[in-house]
Amino acid sequence: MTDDLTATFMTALSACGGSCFVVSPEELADAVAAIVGEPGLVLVGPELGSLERELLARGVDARPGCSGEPAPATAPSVAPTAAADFADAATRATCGITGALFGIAASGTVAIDSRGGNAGLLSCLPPHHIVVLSERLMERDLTAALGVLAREASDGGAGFVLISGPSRTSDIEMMSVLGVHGPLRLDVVVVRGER
Amino acid sequence: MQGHEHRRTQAEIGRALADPTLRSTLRRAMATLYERRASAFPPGFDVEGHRSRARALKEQALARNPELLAELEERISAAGGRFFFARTGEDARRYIAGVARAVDARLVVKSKSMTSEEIGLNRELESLGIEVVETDLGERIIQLAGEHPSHLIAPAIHKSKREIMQLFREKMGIADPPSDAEGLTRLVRQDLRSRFLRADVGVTGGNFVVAETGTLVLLENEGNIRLSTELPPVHVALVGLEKIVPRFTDLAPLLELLPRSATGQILSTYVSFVPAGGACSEVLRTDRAGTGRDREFHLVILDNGRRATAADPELRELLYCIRCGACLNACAPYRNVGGHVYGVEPYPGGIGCAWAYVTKGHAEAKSINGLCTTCSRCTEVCPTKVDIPWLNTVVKQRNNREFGAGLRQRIFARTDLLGAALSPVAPVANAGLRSPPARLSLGLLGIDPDKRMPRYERETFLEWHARRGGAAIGASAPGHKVVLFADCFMNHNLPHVGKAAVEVLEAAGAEVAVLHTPCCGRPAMSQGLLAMPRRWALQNLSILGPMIEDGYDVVCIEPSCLSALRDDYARLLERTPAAADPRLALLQAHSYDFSEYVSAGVRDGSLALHLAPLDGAFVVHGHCHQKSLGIGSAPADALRLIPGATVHETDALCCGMVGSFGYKREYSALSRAIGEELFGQLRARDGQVVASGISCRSQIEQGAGRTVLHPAEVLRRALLPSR
Repeated sequence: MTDDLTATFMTALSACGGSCFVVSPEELADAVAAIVGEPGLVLVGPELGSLERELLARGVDARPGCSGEPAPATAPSVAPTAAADFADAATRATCGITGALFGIAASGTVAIDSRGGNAGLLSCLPPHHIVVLSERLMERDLTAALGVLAREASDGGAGFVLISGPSRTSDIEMMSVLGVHGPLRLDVVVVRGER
Repeated sequence: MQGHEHRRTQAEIGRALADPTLRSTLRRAMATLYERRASAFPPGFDVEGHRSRARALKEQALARNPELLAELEERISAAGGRFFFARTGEDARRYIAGVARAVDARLVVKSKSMTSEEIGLNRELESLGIEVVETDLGERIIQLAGEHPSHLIAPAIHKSKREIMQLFREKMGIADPPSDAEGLTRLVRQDLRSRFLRADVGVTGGNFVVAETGTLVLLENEGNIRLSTELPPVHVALVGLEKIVPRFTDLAPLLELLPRSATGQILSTYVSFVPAGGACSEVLRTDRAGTGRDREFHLVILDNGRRATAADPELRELLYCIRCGACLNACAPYRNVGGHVYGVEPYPGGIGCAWAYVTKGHAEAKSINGLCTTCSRCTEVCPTKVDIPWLNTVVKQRNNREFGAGLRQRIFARTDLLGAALSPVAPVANAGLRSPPARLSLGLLGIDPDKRMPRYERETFLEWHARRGGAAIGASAPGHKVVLFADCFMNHNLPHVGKAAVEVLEAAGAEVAVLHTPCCGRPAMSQGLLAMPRRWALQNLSILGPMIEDGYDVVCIEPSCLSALRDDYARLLERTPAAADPRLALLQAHSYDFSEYVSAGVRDGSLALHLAPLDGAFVVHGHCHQKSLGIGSAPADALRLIPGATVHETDALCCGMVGSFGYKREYSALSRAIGEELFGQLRARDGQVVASGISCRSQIEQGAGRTVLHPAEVLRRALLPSR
């Protein structure tokens, strides 16, 4: 059943201009490193734990995507650790990598916690956004998803963004253009049977 | 009274119609949006169920609005946000300006908010020396152009790429802007990104607000709303009070319908749920600018006439509008001239007229009231089933009360009296209507003298029927008993259509009764004159009700009359004692369009027609009210009863005449322009043109030079002599 949902998710995501990769937990770091592709500053959300170090080990210029944590010893001095220039750094970065609260199969959507970490900015400022989504967190449709969000939002403090594909517009003669204010590229890495 | 604003509208329409770039850009965009919406509802999707749920939800939420407001205020305050209830646009402007001044704001970034356009927020902030930058691509384009949005969701839809390039050259100082949409978009991204990072205040609107959690919900595709809510140290959201829903899970039907109706997407690219204390990434919660101030979130809830509307049973449903813009894409006048012709900011179209009335008052609404033809094509696509034509009718009525109804309105309202007066002197009347003095008087009345007036016949349908000796009951026991509704136009102008209908129904085995009934009321309603139609509705109920109780069905020749009996009477008689009259429901359930009735009867075997093949093909144009009543294909179905008939249906939105609309001088050119789509399709096809409505008939005859038959006339021709 899970596989069906993932297949639906893949189709829906590609219909709105994103790409989906399904990997095992062991393959995750290699897959993400390959998806990052071009060299450049890559900011990794704190919710992804060790992924940032694993990417560094694979030659990716990965930095922690939050202000609270100290920059890794190996990182050059420009690490965006201060609040004052975090947003600027996120704008300079070529890629932001975040986790996801869950996915919505029917619409190819990922839900991002926009308040807890810095996934809000990491998913919006750089031109490329990679989402790491655990397959077991796949919801069937919007109604199911709203049930989850309602529980999370019940204390009034939680904020989310549902993301379905890269940023887009058709404001000029109805022509579809990607990457208006948010990312031009959205890749979702679905991690099979994790945790 | 007719003078000034009609001349303004006529001039605006003329300007728009004379702009080929505007027209081709609009036409393409409207067709694309209309089709995208249609394809967003695949066969398995329960559109009706969702629409009913969404409407019920908005209805209930609005009824509980005061209590939800209190709950919301509590949530926002408890989470550290500021809540402000603005009774007027001025209150809201002043509050937001105060917020900006308190942080010495120099730069405000804004994401598209029609509500902020409604209250003229930008002007207020700019008058304080604050730079205000619109960040939605379309809004930015029109801001650079110094214009207003022309569509609810696609504000720059009227602009061509070439015009945008020229604009960037002039206003952004880019000598050689790229010539593709992608390159132009990239330019705006770069230009605005630095402003987002520098901005002191971000201003957004909001699509929904959840009372139980204080969550603000915003839908978008570009990402500028996310940046406006998350980056600047102060976020102000300005939201109309009608957007509050009780619970989080209430959002489901609304979120399912809004993107599908607006852009044909399953979900917008970004749906942001801003918590009660404001959206903010952890890193920015600490003080970014070093001023020692906390990050601020302000939720401004706007009344500006909404509370009074919520208490107004006739107009309340306007507040169920979720601003998807689907009604505009389905609006024939809008599709041809765009939003600027309406001249009332910021909401154009039929829905815009009602918004103008609620937020700005009588005078503003009056100037655009006539642009709604009350064709009802918008209601078909509205996610919350707002009866926009009815809202326009109510606004028209109130404007009549305020300013007095014009002579032209009173004439158009009385098709019954016109017929009764002119039929007996038909030859004189027909010739007289074309004479120079008559043309002059028509012109003075505001009626286009070049539009051909309907011809009057000396012997009316009712007179013919009486002369014939009433109903002819066939040898076989009739399976159906029918009252053929003798509408004003059929009776006085097209009696032969009525005769054909009687003969076809009788040949099919029905007993056909004809009664003296008052006008259905539709012509008067469309002029915003409701007292007479109310009376006629009651009379029709008392005449037709007992017949229906006696086993009769009511069959209409004219789809507009059917829409009165089936749809409008319920609205007209709302909150009158007759609303509970069981005959009202009976009339709704037992009124039919002629084509619908005959084809359904033959198909279920209760009527039997013996028809011979006819030469040539048929090109059928469905009437707007047939389409809005869900029987758009009924005329084609009826013609397909003819053995071997080749039937082609046009897919033009509307013929453009729509009752008296096309006869009014200020709309006459627009009426022809709307008709062009249909005329083009008719020109491309040989065959007999068939249409059910008298105004469609007259428009096609004048505009495309083709003779038109009613389906009843065609079936009459195909009738085989009785066995």
